[in-house]
Amino acid sequence: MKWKYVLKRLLIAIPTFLGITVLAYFILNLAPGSPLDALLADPGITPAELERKRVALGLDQPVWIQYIHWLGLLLKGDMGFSYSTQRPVAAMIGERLPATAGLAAASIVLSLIVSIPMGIYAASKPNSRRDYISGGISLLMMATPNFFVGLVFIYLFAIVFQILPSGGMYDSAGVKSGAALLRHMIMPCLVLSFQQIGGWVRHMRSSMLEVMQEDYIRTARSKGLKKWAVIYRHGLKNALIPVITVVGMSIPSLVGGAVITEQVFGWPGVGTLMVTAINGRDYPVIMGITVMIAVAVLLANILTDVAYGLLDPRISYK
Amino acid sequence: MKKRNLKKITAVLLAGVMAMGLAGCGGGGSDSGTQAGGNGSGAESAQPSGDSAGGAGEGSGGSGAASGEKVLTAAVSTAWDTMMPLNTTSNYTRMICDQIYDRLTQCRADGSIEGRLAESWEANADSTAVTFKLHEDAVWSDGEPVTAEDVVFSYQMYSDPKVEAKSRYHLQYIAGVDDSGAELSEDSIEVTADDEHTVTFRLKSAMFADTFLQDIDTVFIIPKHIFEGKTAEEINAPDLWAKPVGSGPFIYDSEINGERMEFVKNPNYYLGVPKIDRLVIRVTDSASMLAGLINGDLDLIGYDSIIIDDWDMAKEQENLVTVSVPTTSYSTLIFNTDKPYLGQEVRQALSMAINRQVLVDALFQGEGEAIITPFCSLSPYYNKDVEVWYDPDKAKSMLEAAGFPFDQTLVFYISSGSSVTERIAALIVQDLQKVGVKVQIEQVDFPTLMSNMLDGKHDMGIIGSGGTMDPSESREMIHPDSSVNFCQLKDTELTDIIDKGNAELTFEARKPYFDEYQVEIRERSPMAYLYTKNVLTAYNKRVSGVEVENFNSLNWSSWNWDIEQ
Repeated sequence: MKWKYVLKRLLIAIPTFLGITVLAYFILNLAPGSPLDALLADPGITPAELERKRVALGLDQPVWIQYIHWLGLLLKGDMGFSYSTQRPVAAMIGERLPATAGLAAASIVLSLIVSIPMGIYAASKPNSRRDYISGGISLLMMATPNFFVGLVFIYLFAIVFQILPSGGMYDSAGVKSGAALLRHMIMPCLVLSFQQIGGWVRHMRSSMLEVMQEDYIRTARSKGLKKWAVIYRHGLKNALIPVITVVGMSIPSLVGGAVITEQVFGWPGVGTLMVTAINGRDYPVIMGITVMIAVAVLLANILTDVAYGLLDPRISYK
Repeated sequence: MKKRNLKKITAVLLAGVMAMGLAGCGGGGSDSGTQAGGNGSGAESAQPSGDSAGGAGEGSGGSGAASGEKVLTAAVSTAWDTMMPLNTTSNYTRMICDQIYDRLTQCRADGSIEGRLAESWEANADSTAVTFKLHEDAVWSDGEPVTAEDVVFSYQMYSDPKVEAKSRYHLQYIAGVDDSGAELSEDSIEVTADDEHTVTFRLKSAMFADTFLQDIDTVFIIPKHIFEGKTAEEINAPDLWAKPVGSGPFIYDSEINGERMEFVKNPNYYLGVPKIDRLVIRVTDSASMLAGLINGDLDLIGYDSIIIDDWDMAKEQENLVTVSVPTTSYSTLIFNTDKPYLGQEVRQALSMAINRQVLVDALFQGEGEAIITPFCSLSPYYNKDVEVWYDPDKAKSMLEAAGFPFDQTLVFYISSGSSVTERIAALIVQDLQKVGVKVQIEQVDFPTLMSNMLDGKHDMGIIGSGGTMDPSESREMIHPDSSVNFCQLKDTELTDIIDKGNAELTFEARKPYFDEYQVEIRERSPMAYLYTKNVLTAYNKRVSGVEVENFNSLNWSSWNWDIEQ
């Protein structure tokens, strides 16, 4: 029964995926500016040379022919070659993916560690001082833009206290060790978690509050259990279920990258690659990353729904 | 009891965070070939990838500091796009290539030219050919000697239309190629080896040799013995370039794509063995550059400027030397001369309504220069009689006299991503409003800006140019056949003056034409040149031998750099 459901969802995902690629490809081509315009950064280039490039890149063909050509290659597992580096797109993304995934995974875990207890704490006494303080802090965290947090952290930790590196992945000199990597990861990871924590605390709090109104909680309390035992043993398990959806939605960031944070910290992930590609109108690279994110979103959705069903017996699949 | 449980969970989770992060990123390093062999965890060695061998295999990266290696870290704000020196228009790529390969000559900030691979050079009597004498002790990093044949081969490769070479147009003045630098027939480019270390370039017509030298200053010399006999497809693919053999001051060591490239010194460099052992070029956002310099992560800024908001803080740092370097980089306000309501008088009036000094003072704290032509006071061709104008009252009456439709809203394109440009645009709009002109700003990304202005969708638009010491630098932007004729000019009146100047072979004979050009370009006002901007740079006091004023001319001379341990 469950497998049938997964299969059905996967089959539905195929047209959705194709739809995404069509939309992305055509919108990309509708956007003013072409890969050739990006070349004009060097003004000496002649119209004849531009024309030669246009033909060489196949940009003289109608868009739908270009799309079919691109899709044909994709179905064979080939994402094509970058216009600017001439390297295979898959290799370029593959190179950046571990940095992005590592950072995103660390920040998801860190966010969970912080936001779950904070959410419970806030919900344990609604409308109390602790609830308002935690609410205020999480709203502030949600509302502060990433680049600002990044610059403040750099100022504090790299300039004033000089305990963390200002950016990059490793030191310039010395062994490229795991410890060096970890030190370089602390700040981007904190920044990336900052907004996430703010949001997740609010989710955790409201989910917890809802659960605490349930009959079985009242039953547990009337059994004479201590307050925190009720919260942890009976409340938490059920309150976590809706949070799964929220966490599930953050999974695509494992492959999509965090554009601004990566930029500020010189972290060589997919996000910075995407920005470079868009500025250079490097169609194959933009499409490659789009495809990857699309797949991640579709899969994460399916996974979230399945996990939801596994954890919550009230939900059944047809 | 329960508390202890919670602690345990937290500890496990924390360990998980670190493990996940490490696993993810460790893989990243190895994929791009930066993990030196033998220092990492087990996951690394199994990952094959295109450039993973890249010389890092020796473990030199890993053992660097331990053995007292002298390491210098230079920051750039943008990553290089390729390892192919001929197929780029990016100066960031050129700076990378400049470490690995050599070029015949390079420019200094004052416009003078100094030799690299060429020890000396000489134009013939009628200035239709230039002969270079190469350094006889130059060798490729694999030990082969560098000869005149390598130079000939490189230029043939650049001019081969089957080869992808975005930089090809720099060959435009050489005989035997078309305007785009492509050969007319197989190897028709007239670059010939006279003997093993002498090479002669024949030019299409007599010209000022320095103009030619400045134009080919980004053409790199490629090893013939590596690329000879390779097909165009093989040359166009990145594989042959991934482990480059060059004759430059440094040898490629490893790369983390988008984060850094590392080089080791070339122990045989003929202009002097580099004083540092390892050069690391790091990609760093402009906004974090100063932080890196202050805490010692970075030693100098290779090719960029500290953002102006950080400049005061930079000057206060005790560990840094700060330099404000005047440059030829300028910004200009393009007018669409094709629009009926933007006639010459109107353009002059709009140009006159802008208070350029306020732009320079307010946005660059005075670290720049107001200009009215593409020439700034650095240029030996600068005509000081062509003064920057600012007269809003006169501008207003000129607009009225020209019958300017004041109810018309002018469309003003600027590119996104630069807060300076945004502020400049806002100030210009204010200035224009004072004389009664309505302006609407359209902010788009760079390729869109280019495309819309080529299509003539704009009334005005701001564009920046690196500028050069070559007085004909601005020709491209005002020639009707150019691919960057954003002003939509239809006649060659202005470029004819430049061409006449270029036909003269001495500075004295050229100067009057370029004087006239400056008078005329202000008169015609196809665009309102606004300002040149200083590069605000800083380097650690431990660093010596750097001439930061030359960096903007793509001249690092990195073999002279040194750093105290």
